[in-house]
Amino acid sequence: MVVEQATRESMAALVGPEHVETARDADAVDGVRPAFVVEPANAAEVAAVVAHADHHGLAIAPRGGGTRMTWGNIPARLDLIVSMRRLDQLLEHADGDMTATVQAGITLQDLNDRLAERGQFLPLDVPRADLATIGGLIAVNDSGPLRLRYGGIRDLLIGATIVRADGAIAKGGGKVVKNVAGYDLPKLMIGALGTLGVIVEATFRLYPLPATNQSLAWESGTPEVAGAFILAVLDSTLVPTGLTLRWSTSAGSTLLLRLTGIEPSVLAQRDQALALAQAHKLGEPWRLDASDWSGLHAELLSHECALVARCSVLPSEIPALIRMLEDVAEQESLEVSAVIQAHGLGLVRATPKGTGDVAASLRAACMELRKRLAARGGTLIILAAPLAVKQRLDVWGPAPDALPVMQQIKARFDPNGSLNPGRFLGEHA
Amino acid sequence: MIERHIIPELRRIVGDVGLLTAPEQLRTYESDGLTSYRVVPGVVVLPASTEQVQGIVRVCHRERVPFVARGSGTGLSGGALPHAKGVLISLARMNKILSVDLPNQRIVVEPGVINAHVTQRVATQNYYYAPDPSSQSVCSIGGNVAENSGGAHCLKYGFTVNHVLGLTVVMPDGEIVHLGGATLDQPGYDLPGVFVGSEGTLGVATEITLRLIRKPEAVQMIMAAFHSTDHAGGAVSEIIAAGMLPAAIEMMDHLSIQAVEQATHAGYPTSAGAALLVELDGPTAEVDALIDRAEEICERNGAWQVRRAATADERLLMWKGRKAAFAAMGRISPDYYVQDGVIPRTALPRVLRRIDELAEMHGMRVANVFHAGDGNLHPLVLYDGDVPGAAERAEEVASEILTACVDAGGSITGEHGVGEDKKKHMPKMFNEADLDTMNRLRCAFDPNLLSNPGKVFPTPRLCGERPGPRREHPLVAAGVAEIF
Ligand SMILES: Cc1cc2nc3c(=O)[nH]c(=O)nc-3n(C[C@H](O)[C@H](O)[C@H](O)COP(=O)(O)OP(=O)(O)OC[C@H]3O[C@@H](n4cnc5c(N)ncnc54)[C@H](O)[C@@H]3O)c2cc1C
Repeated sequence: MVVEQATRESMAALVGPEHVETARDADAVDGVRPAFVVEPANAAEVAAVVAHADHHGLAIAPRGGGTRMTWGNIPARLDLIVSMRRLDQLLEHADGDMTATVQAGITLQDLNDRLAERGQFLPLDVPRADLATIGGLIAVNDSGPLRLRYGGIRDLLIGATIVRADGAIAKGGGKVVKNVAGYDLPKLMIGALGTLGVIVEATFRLYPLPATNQSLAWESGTPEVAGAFILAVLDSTLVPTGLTLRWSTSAGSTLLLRLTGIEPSVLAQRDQALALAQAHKLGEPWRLDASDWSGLHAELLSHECALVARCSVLPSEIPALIRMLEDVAEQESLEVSAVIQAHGLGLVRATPKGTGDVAASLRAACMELRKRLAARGGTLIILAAPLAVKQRLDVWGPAPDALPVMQQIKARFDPNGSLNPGRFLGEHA
Repeated sequence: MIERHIIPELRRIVGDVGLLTAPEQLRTYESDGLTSYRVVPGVVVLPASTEQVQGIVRVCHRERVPFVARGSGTGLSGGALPHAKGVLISLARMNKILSVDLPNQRIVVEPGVINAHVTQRVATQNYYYAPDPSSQSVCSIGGNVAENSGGAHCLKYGFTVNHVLGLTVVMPDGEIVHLGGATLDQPGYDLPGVFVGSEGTLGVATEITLRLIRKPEAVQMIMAAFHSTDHAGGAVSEIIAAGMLPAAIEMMDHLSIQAVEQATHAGYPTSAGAALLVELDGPTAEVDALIDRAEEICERNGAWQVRRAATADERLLMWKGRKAAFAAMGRISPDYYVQDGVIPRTALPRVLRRIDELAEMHGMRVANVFHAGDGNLHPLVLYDGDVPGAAERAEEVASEILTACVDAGGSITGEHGVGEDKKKHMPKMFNEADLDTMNRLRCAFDPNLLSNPGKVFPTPRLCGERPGPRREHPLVAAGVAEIF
């Protein structure tokens, strides 16, 4: 108790007592409950908090909106959550330069609402944009259908400032789109799950909001028909801002296509797409609206006691992925649904139908999928799963041969292992 | 001189054809595209496979001999400048395209493959490789990867890093590792993301998986002549503000136009104060509508001549002029020194005026050709190397231009890299903590600092101990951890 009290007092001295809370059950990460939640006001306070924790051997988990805290392995230990909620400012929207610099705790929705005032946006469409923060999204490297056209976070992030485990504040990249001075440290933060530093500031390149958009959907018959249509669109001169296959064991598959731009172009592309669909014998199309897109993933991420995973395959392997999902659904008696982007990234959700050893069947399904995906260069990362699954299975899957390099980077950036210990690749207990 | 005893061992690895030791042969490798720096390498090896690169690097690692990778030697920052006591590894013989997967828009190449050959390989099937440095007919993909090279079309399509999915790398200790891969978002840190642009300091890339792009339905291009770069800059801003994302927007000032027109006869308006090239690509309906608007915007901003390329050949001729701009400087000056500082696009008029001032102050001429869309300047400081002190004065002007770029919120380099040439400018952008963090990354890859040592970082740095296994949680050790 003495140590806890001392830590609390130190933290209170750094950020003010009103910004140090005793952690509640809801603050636990995969059942591991921290002692405190600390809310620093700015980069300097983050640095002070992190340096103090690191010096005293406390384990830190940075937290944005808390929408993706289940990603990663179960924490090996956790003492302190550093909430980024108060670093929520849009620092600069340089609309003439099409860049924006933000504090890491701003939500995606808030940012895009502000950017829209001047006709621009950060083309990231991920679920729970109202809560998800920019820092958190960089750390988990999430993306949605827009990635097909605009690339992922690695293609949009041009600068970042981080707080290192020892409290040093360091920046990489810059505020201009084109810049090759020094190593690209911002890239290193993408998908690193906050294990190398706490992101406090980020600069992005932006895009103009499209003038119009139209979306179409088709029932797509077999996965092979859907797959052939996807490849045909990729091989055409169409420039879709979304091409997505939605599939589930109970409802079959649907293809979604979104076209954006100036009106004449959208109309001409629509006709081209309809002709392509007819040639592939897709059924009658129907029109979608924006909410159909934003709702796509939300469905998948909701619900307890399911397993949610991210699969990555080559575009040509999308039908094979669906067939694999069908097989494991059958073998392990699961309800499975998936939303797969034309660029080969898909979210998969599996829920056990029965009540037997639920964890065992989810584990078996994952292992089987991983084995079959690996044979085709694909991967599967678990994003959320019952604890009994995560206890026995590394959420990241087999480590690549570059793991020793990654471990060296981690050791050089965070020698005491203070940042999110246990959660990253190769750290499964 | 290199340690002689490693030569026979290197010969065993690469054979006689792959080993150069004669002084006159070594001398051809003494500099890259920036010829003001020269160092004769200890020995040059030309491996033919990943395994041979591994063999060479293992010897270097064991003997603590530095090595420098080299592609085509067109780099403009002294990145491939050899080490006098080191091994220069030329990747020129590793020039095979290993596989093409059009349905998935992927291609796997060896590092010595020439940039333009990638596009040539898939052009008839309507695909191309997007990053297009002006040196694309000679520079290598390995060099592009190391420099994160750009090109005119990067405005819309991004840089090398946006097109590299995976790499096979021989690490500085000789281990072969695979970074990234053919599918997106492989588990772990984004190592392709940091390897690209690392200027040969993190190991040697021996296989590279690239993304191919489907050719657009339509391409249109205009060339507009203005009285001044200010007017042209105004047009650029308005085009961007109108929500267009052209494939390229390039600007040339009066001096550059003179040089280019004399060299290429591409039809550039020689009396213009500035010329703008604007290229749009995409669906026909979009390109047709937007090119009209781009023309209107140019006219509204004072363009006194706007020409639209009527055919693909005319378009290529317009491009030929732009891409030959560096070489064309020979027409108007015996020597030039080029920098590639970047500024936020909106700072263009301000910084261009500053460059004029600097040129006047030092009595030098500065020609400007640049990627106006993304604010990447290429000020060419013209001088005569035979005049004593002129080279130094040129470098001083260039250096002050970089200061102006950084002061405007930009960068010291947009595509040529830091290398040997610009390392002294790094502190203009990065403080000690930033550089120390970069050095940690460096040390994670190359703790003995053998891979292209002495480049990028402004002052020599060491790596310190290799961090050992994690420390035990101190509170656990102290027996007080049950409270957490
Ligand atoms: C006329 C002219 C125009 C140019 N225009 C442009 C332009 O528009 N855009 C642009 O970005 N650049 C441009 N450049 C610069 C240059 O062409 C690029 O930097 C190019 O990528 C260098 O390729 P290279 O094969 O010549 O590499 P080199 O000069 O041989 O090497 C460059 C760096 O790459 C490293 N390297 C080479 N191969 C490997 C490997 N396999 N693994 C690891 N490291 C490696 C070297 O150590 C060195 O640090 C231009 C140069 C010239 C001369």
